Amino acid sequence: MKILRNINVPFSRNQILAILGGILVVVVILIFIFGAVWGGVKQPISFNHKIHAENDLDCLDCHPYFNEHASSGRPSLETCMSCHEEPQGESLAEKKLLEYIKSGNEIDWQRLYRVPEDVYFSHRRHVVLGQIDCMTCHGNIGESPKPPSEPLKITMKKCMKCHEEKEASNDCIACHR
Amino acid sequence: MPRWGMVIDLDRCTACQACVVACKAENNIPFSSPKEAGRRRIISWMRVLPMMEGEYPNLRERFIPRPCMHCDNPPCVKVCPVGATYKNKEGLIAQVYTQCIGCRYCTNNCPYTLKYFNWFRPEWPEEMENYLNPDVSIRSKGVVEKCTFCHHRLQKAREKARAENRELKEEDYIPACVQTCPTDAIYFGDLDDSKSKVAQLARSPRAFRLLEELGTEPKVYYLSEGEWHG
Ligand code: HEC
Ligand code: HEC
Ligand code: HEC
Ligand code: HEC
Ligand code: HEC
Repeated sequence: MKILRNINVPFSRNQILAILGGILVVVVILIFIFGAVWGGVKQPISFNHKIHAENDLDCLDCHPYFNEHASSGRPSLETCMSCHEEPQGESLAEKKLLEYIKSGNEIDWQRLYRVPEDVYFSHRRHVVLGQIDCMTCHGNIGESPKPPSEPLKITMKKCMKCHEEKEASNDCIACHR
Repeated sequence: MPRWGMVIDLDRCTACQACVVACKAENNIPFSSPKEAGRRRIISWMRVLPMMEGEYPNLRERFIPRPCMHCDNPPCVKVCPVGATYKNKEGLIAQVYTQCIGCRYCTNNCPYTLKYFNWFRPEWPEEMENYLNPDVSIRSKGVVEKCTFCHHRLQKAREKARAENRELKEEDYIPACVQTCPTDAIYFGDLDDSKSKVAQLARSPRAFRLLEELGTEPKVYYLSEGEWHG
């Protein structure tokens, strides 16, 4: 301990505390900034998949293309109107929907899943030909009462791991184009 | 496993450049200005090379449309430090844009000079932006690109064949230049299928390949009557 005390420290105790305090403030600010960017998917209406699944709606009723196309597609306002022209309940979320229906403006749903533009992903290939359940990739979003609060990533690692198991192609240009 | 290749009949080619234009439209290749073209920064996956044949005074100008040769022994692949360009199982020379670091070793090592560096962020006139091909990605500035034999068409054709529960047929997969050629001078198919048109033509006495002596083993064959020194 004696030796330690004898070393010439260029900063005083107070200076060190001030520097540490400064770093802490910067870190907290950064966490707020990144939090706002990363956690930032806020849907215009808090859509409840669970209630609709319980009302016997099939995925295909609202995501109509996955059997024929690369994309699944998301529902237009018209799809909602077939039931919601009459209020179905009393929730705040539904009131918002009724306002959209009154104005006729499409709801600007934010995308949760997205692969980069140079990656080819086809729902038909996986759902119809590969016979893979939505849940394998999307988790229980189809049965959850609230949309996930942040974008979920299907990483290349996940794609390639399953491809290895199912003996699908892992050639880079099978996916990248 | 097919081994995709191309045969171009130079006696049928009129150098009309339809293949060049079709390729650019199909593959989202941006326009270039005369100034940049002058600096050899134009991108054109299919290019028609003019060539003099014969000896003075019996000269004849010939035109050679050149896509990527998809060499079986590719010099570009040997120098890529990151594995962004490689030969896949079907013999296609792949270029993975996200993996490319833009070093341009491959561009410089291609004896046919058929690999292209993106010197600029590609841009299109506003009216054209809705007409880009959604099956082909837009390359970013700083990566190398080249003819893919319209590989995205193979991706789709394969999925379609699977959906119809049948094997992929040769006519399912046709690159844009082949489809467009008004004189049917370009053939495409599996070189390893001895019954295919390309395999037959590649064996013809009229067939030759460019810079054959380098040992690159190109999978693009040319046909021409008479003396040729590719
Ligand atoms: C009543 C219509 C409806 C039904 C039925 C429905 N969805 Fe949805 N789904 C939506 C809406 C609206 C969104 C956009 C809002 C959101 O993300 O919650 C969405 C979003 C999604 C997303 C996220 C898409 C993205 O943005 O990347 C997935 C995945 C999804 N649904 C899967 C399913 C599955 C699986 C089923 C069947 C079990 C299903 N959905 C049934 C309406 C529906
Ligand atoms: C088959 C009829 C049907 C369709 C189509 C339908 N819904 Fe519903 N929706 C219901 C029913 C039934 C309820 C339950 C009402 C209740 O019990 O509060 C509901 C409830 C809701 C609620 C309130 C949820 C909550 O958390 O209380 C919202 C918001 C909603 N729907 C949005 C939509 C949207 C957006 C669409 C179009 C993509 C849509 N619905 C399509 C039948 C439908
Ligand atoms: C093999 C994994 C996988 C399976 C299985 C899968 N998805 Fe997806 N899904 C994805 C990926 C990856 C994306 C992002 C696609 C993109 O960016 O083009 C996506 C995007 C979506 C989207 C939003 C974009 C769009 O395509 O409109 C919806 C909605 C969706 N999936 C619904 C479903 C439904 C419903 C099922 C079951 C029938 C399903 N998915 C099965 C991986 C999968
Ligand atoms: C849970 C398993 C699974 C996951 C996860 C998965 N795939 Fe697949 N994929 C398959 C299967 C199985 C096939 C073959 C389908 C068939 O039988 O045609 C396939 C086929 C493909 C093909 C066609 C390959 C070819 O031979 O032409 C592409 C492209 C593809 N997947 C892309 C992706 C991408 C991109 C992702 C990640 C975003 C992904 N896949 C995630 C199972 C999966
Ligand atoms: C089964 C489909 C699939 C295959 C095969 C595949 N990739 Fe990917 N790759 C993806 C997806 C999806 C992404 C975007 C998601 C991510 O970044 O994880 C991606 C992203 C990337 C990225 C960007 C990652 C980043 O952090 O920016 C690179 C680089 C890449 N891939 C290189 C390759 C190379 C090299 C190969 C061949 C060895 C390959 N990929 C094979 C699906 C695939």
